[in-house]
Amino acid sequence: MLKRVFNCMASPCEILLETEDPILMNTVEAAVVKEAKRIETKFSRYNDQGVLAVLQRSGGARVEVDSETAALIEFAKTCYELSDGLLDITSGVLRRVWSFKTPDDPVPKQREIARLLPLIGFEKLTWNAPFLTLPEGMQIDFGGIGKEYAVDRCLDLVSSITTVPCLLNFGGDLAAKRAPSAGEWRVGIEGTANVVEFKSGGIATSGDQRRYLKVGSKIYSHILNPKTGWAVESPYTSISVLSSTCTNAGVLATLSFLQDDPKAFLEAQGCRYWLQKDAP
Amino acid sequence: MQLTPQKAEKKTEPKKSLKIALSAATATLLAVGSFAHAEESVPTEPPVPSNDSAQKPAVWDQPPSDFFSRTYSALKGWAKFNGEVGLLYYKETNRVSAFEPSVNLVAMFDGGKTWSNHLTLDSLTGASPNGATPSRNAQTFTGPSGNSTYSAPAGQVPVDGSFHDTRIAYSTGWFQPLGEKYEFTVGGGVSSEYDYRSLTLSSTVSRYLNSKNTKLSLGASLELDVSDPVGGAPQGFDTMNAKLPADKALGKTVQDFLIGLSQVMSRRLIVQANYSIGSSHGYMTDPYKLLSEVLPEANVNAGDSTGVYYYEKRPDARTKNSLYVGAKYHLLKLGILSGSYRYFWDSWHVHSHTFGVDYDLPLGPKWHAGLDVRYYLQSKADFYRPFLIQGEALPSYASADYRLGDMDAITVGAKIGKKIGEGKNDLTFHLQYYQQTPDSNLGAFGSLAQYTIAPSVKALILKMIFGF
Repeated sequence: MLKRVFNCMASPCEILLETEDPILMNTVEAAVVKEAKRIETKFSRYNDQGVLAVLQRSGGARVEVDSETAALIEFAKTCYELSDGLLDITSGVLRRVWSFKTPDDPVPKQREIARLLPLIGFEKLTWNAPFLTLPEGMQIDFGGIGKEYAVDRCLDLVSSITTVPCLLNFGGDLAAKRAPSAGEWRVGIEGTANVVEFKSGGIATSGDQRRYLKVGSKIYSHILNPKTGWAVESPYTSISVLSSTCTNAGVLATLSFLQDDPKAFLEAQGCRYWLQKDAP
Repeated sequence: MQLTPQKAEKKTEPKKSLKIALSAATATLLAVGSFAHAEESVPTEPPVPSNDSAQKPAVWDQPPSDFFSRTYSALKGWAKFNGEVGLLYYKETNRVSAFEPSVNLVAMFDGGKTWSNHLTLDSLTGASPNGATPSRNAQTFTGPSGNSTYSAPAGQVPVDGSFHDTRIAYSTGWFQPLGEKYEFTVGGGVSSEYDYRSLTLSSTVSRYLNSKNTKLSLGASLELDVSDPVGGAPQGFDTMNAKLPADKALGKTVQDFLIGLSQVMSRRLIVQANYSIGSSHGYMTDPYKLLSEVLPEANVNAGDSTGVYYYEKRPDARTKNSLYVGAKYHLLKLGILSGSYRYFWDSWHVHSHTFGVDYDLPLGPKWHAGLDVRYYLQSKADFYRPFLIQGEALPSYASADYRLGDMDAITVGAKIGKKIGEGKNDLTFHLQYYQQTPDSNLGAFGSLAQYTIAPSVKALILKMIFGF
């Protein structure tokens, strides 16, 4: 088993390949790093030349996007519809009032949130693939999908190179194509006692051990409800979900956080999941 | 504080079909994504900044974390070990045989740091040509210590049958990445046999360029050797029966420098090129090799040994150069094909070419097999002489060591291996056949002309490697 580590998308990323051939590992590593950085550069909110910045500068004009961006927007639209608006790529404007820098930050005032709500709502976009019109002041980002998408893309790339079992772990978002010869991949979920064991598929974790607000006994997670503009108050600090792909798992994990009863929701979906209840 | 407006919000009921609909959407996304990737992997893609300062902070809204150190430390303890136990058996037809067990143990730490250890025990027995020519008459030689003799029947290549040695060698190395772009290794080794000791120190620094597709390496090593031959070290052209200065150990130093480049050309192809230059100073004469003095061509007994044998003498300086190019091509399910070429030249005017091809083929999840072929072609050192002629002035340097003569050699091998246990272990058998053929045109005359002066070497090499 060879392992390589690199940094991408502000996370430590890891490639595990069941081989002893360093040349194969180099090839896989080079391909994965290149693809991950490509996706990072293209969809970063902080890249002035990136797709998102171009859209935000459009000033309400219609913009033609490339096929990959179109696919992501199309996927986001499906998520928006399936979740009845709980997953919304236009909700990023809320970060102006919810920064989650420290747990003791003041909770934003309702009127501050209310001022931003008119800028949120996928239905306010005009989307006729491949043309997107983003109303002035609104923004989109793939914060909830992008890293999981990158993991799946990179894993597809690995399987075009080799059939050797491979696990990718981009800062806690994982995917594996094949079971290792030891039987199962064993990965610890950060900040929890959970060690997940799985053969293949994708695992994503929602919730963050460092990014929350604490007000008295209440814990606000960094998952935001785009309809209310409020952070979700949840009995769980993190939820990990296993699904066929990391992208799927990510959507299910985030969506479960937004449910009254995440456990019932995940049971109804019939997926394996791991809940972490301890208050941070 | 009143902080519950979201409680009023009616949350959606889970949809039974959600997972299915989501899977379909994901499948579409990833299919389009792969198309997009193929489209954009051509050079029209804006260059990805490989410079860290150009990378933007916190792109995915997650602060940096020490995720992996914590994630895996619980599973791995302080390090993960793996290694190999190997057994090598080498047998030349009628000559030397060697038995070589070895242990290789590698400790891997978090952050890609690696500590490797290698221990080898090398046990040689058998007979080795002593450099003298065959003769019409039986020949008797005195061993280096002066108190043993061995003889060669008429017409046969004289071999020193007392040849046996045990060598123990240990080497260790520390490897670690330095930041994202550099790698660093430092290592050392010691080896000891009853008449030879060696100490090596080496270090390599590598830098990744071009999004890790290019790796540039610079290395240096220093080797210090001490030779303390049985019966004393001949200083060159001492005759076989001369009393040699006893207990005189002689040293040698070797410095090597290497510059290497490896380049990922595509997802499947990686190429590598190295140039190395090394210089040796000190005692490089083989203290056990002789040269026959034979009667000149004009003599009625031309080619017969005069009964005088000289110890060989080699220059005390040598500069070696080597240029290596290699490529590995990944044939996906059909395995890995590697090819290499090495050109070597030195200040003794030895030139050699080595061509190698290796093929490794996976046979399902458990078995793997491989084939390898190597061809080696060498031109002789300028002081190589199969014999000396009576009455002629002694040259400055001379050696009849067949390893310095014109020759070619071929190695063919095949291996088969199987993963055992729960796939964590691997047992591989590797069988190779080696044949070294010296140039037969060595200017032999008179009675010598009927004999094979420089012997060919045929050997079988069997390796058993158990990886854990």
